Amino acid sequence: MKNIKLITGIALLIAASSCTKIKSVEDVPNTSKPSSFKEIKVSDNFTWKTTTNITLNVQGFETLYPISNTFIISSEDQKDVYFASNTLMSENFKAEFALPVHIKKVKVNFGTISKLMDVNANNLTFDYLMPAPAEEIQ
Amino acid sequence: MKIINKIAIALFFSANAILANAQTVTLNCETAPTGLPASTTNNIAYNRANCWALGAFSYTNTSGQIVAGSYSARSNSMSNPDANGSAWIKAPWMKLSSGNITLKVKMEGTSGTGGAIGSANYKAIRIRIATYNPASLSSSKEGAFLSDSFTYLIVTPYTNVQNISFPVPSAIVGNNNVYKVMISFIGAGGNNRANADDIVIPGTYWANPTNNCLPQALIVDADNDGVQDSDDAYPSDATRAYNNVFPSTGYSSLMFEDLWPTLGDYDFNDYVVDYKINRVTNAANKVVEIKAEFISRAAGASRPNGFAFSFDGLPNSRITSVTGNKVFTPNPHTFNSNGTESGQTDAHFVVVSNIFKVLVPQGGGTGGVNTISTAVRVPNDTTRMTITLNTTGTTTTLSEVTLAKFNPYLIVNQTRGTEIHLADKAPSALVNSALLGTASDNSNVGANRYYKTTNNLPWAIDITTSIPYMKETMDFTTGYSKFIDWSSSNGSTNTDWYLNLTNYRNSNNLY
Repeated sequence: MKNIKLITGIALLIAASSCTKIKSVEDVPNTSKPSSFKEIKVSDNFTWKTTTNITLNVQGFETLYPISNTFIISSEDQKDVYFASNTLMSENFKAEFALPVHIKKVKVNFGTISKLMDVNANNLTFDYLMPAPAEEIQ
Repeated sequence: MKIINKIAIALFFSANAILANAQTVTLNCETAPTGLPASTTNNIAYNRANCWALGAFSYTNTSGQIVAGSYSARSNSMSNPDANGSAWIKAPWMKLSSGNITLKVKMEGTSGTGGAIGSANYKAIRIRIATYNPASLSSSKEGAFLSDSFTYLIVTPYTNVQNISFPVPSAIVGNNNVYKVMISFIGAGGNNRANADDIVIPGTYWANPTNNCLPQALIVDADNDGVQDSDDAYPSDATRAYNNVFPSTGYSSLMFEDLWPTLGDYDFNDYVVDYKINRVTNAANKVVEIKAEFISRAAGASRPNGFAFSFDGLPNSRITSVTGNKVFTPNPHTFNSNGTESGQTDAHFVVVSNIFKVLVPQGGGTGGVNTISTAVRVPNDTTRMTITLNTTGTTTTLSEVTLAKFNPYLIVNQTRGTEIHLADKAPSALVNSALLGTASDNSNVGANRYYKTTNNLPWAIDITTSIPYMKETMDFTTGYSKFIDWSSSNGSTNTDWYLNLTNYRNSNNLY
């Protein structure tokens, strides 16, 4: 009886390991396009995330009088707000937010100061400087 | 006694000097924005951002054009007699006080310059004071000019610095109205330019650079928390100001395989839950509350799993209370008095201790809730949790509770030590670490590698928007046609695979 159990156990172990071996993704050639999830091979640093963590480094601006307002980072159409804080204009700070990976532009608003920014890196820099108004260029 | 008098006099003049300095607004062209080097472009940008306006002016650091210091303003040719159409400098809105408006001006050359005002080549400086008219259709809201104005004719030697001074009209001193000083550089003929510097205006700065440089106004702030009502999500609650939600719109979807550490069938429907996390901050930008909403949609598992989350590194001590979670008896948890799970280093929040209690298997069986099209559909279950955080002592910033630190996980089969996390998310202190790195799992604690196979496949995925999940046993890749391209490229292509675009989804395989 003990022998039967032992043989059965060994047989199951071999079957289980064989099964695992058959299913192992390591055996799938990397040259052809995977046809199922198990066949996918990705690099160690691939995160599977559908969002990107963005840090916007905000360079404060010394005003002649302390000015605070709401600092808002949003989608281009300003419908989706990614970040909002009460901010002193002279303050340097980092705004951290998550952005869906397919979004490539964000809008930054601080009162009437507004900039559309390309998202081309995980670390972006923002300053409050705006181009001279048209009426000042003659 | 004489010494004491001298000290007293010195203190008197010192105090007055500070007061006088505080009550003038100056344009000296020397300052660049913090962090930027002084330059002609940076310095003029600094002054513009502080609501100085400069029409047909640039800054210069050319030695022959300097009036004072290292930088000066340089006009275009002074050949226009129209004070509105010539080169001009406008100060920010100010409340003017008594004293003289002063500036320094010189001409760059001598040609085309001379004669009385109105003659062929005259050059002059005109100072006017504009009133504020909130009803004006112009964006600057500048109203009529005061009748008092001042015109200074540039005199020979033209290239010498000339000090110009004009008293603020006594009628408007201290009347609490705001005014804007406009200095025009007018003339006729030739192409001679002016260099200007050290404009000093007595009074108090009263412009708002974040509101089109219009005058500062009293903001409407019902709860007086410092955030104006138009920006305040809680205008009547001084303890709250902003909602900070991820995802920013709608919900995200979490999908789990629950056979870890062995591989599953990769239909990712053993538990499907949508979520939205709102981190409520106050006017000081401290997180005072987290409102977490979880919608359990499917449980294609055969075992009674639980669901929990943490924010990596957020300690228990920051939490005041946890309400709204669904803890059923029996369960494998014990809790601290603040509602977090005990035995943990970080704050861990149990959302649903037994998913089958909120998505109840139909027909008395176990498992397969909302994953088989022909079976009875069970309504989604929404769990709304409120987590309150310290508002005194050690408080919490947004950067401590970001999506990057959000760590949701499955607790398998009511066995507290069996946790399934997103790829490379660390397990809790209560995990059975003996399971890590066994079977198909290739976790390596020393390398901070967790919940991935040798080919880096995960047991859970987090999608930034709510998406349909797979029918029972259907491979995830058969529902989303761009997923293989996205993942096989390590995320460099098809980054929008989850969107509902043409030919992106195979609805036959989606529940």
